[in-house]
Amino acid sequence: MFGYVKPVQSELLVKEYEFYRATYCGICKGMKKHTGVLSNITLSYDSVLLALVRMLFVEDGCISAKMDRCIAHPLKKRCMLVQNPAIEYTARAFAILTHYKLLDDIKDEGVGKKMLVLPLRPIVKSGAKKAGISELEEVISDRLKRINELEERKVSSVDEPAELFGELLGEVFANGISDSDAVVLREFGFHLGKFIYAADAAEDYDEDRKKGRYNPYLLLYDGKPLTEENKKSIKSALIYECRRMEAAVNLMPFGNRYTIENIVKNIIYLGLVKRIEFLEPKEITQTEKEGTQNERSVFSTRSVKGRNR
Amino acid sequence: MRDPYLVLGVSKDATDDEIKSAYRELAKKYHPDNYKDDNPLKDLASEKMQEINAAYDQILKERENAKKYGSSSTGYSYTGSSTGPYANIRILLSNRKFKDAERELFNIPTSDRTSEWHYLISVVLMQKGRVNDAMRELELACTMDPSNVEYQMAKQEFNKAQSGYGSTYYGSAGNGRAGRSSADDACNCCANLICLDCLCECFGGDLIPCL
Repeated sequence: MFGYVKPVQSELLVKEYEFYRATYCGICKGMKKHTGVLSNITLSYDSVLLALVRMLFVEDGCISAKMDRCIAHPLKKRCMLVQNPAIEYTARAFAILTHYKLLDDIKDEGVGKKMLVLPLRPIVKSGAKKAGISELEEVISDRLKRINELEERKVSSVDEPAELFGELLGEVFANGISDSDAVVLREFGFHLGKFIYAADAAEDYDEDRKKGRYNPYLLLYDGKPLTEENKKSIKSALIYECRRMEAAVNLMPFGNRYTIENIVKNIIYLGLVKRIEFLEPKEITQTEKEGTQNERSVFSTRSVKGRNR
Repeated sequence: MRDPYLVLGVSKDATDDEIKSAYRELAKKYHPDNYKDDNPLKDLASEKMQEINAAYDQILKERENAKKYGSSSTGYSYTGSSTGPYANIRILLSNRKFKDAERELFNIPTSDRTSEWHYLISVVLMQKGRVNDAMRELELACTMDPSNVEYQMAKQEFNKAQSGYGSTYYGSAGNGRAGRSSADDACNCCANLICLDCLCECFGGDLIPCL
């Protein structure tokens, strides 16, 4: 549901990476505590962005971490964030999101995947029930229903369903927050949602084309294979959504919380761009490779020259 | 012609005053008074002067248009040389009556929809933030009428506006991490030293004896 919204790890400082992982562990613990044992097995790294951004708005004090054990890694103690309102909210919101994603999978996927996800259903369902944010649940189920309706009608627009998913994520980010903060969060979530929906659809283009499944881009592009020019257009439109997110991020109250700021910016500036790498023309990666080789040869001649003198 | 902003050496979002002073600076530099009759560089300077004047005029005109139509970032006036139903719609767009324009556009039967229809609907969609759909319509307009400069320009402008995204991540100083610009990595440092060494050697000295 949440796509793959992750930072580019190699560009994070070690302390930023540690904080990122500690946040993840905190959410995992939070799910165990608030939405039931085992509900956390479906958690993904995508949840961290929500927790980080929410922490900016609801945490004014310091964010503390502790070393603790967990079931997944019983041998070594891991650093994890102590429960705080942002973490708790993320845990609950994700329990609900997971529940609806599961319902979606059961409906859409083939027999094989159905068999895999069916046993999870009772756990996830009770998790969503325990989450207890009914107004959020209403928005999520309503928007997903409307997206399904659009998909059944085979609407030939990417933006229409993407906007609905954007509204969904906007609510996930802004729920329970008021005034101008909510505006920033909603705008951020809205464009993130649009990005995720459109990027997922674009990535599945070839597969859906072969299998004859619904995909809004297929209808827009008449079911033909995408040309490089088409891909460029799609990419530009997606980067436009990133720019809108950037505008929202610039209004977030980072203060001196540089670690959070850098992780969030890494995700927005690098992670999302990496997410749509599949739209890059293939030749460019080729020339890039050649470029590095050339660079290397410059260095080797340099050292030979140095030795000669 | 070259990008007028590049000619004047200012960024696209420079203020009117900045552009004016940049223009004056350059005009002074290449003024005919500095290249009197016998100067062999006279022609070159006057060419340069013309280029600067043209660039300045173009920027002024573009900005004037942008103000007149109150159009957003792109600075297009949508009043092309079209006739028929589209001329009206273009006027609506220039007056930022996007809802009316959209209604008018959808009143045109599917069979009559030309490349211009696709272009104009893309302007409407873009305004609504429906960029994915807008780009598709723009592409359609371009494929239906590949020789149309207006459509091509609109597509290129949008693509260009999205390029360079993410570059701020590295340069953002003051975020608790020393800004990493490409100018101060190890490679560049070495190159600079080698350069410096060459310079020294030109003048008979030597900065790095082993090189």
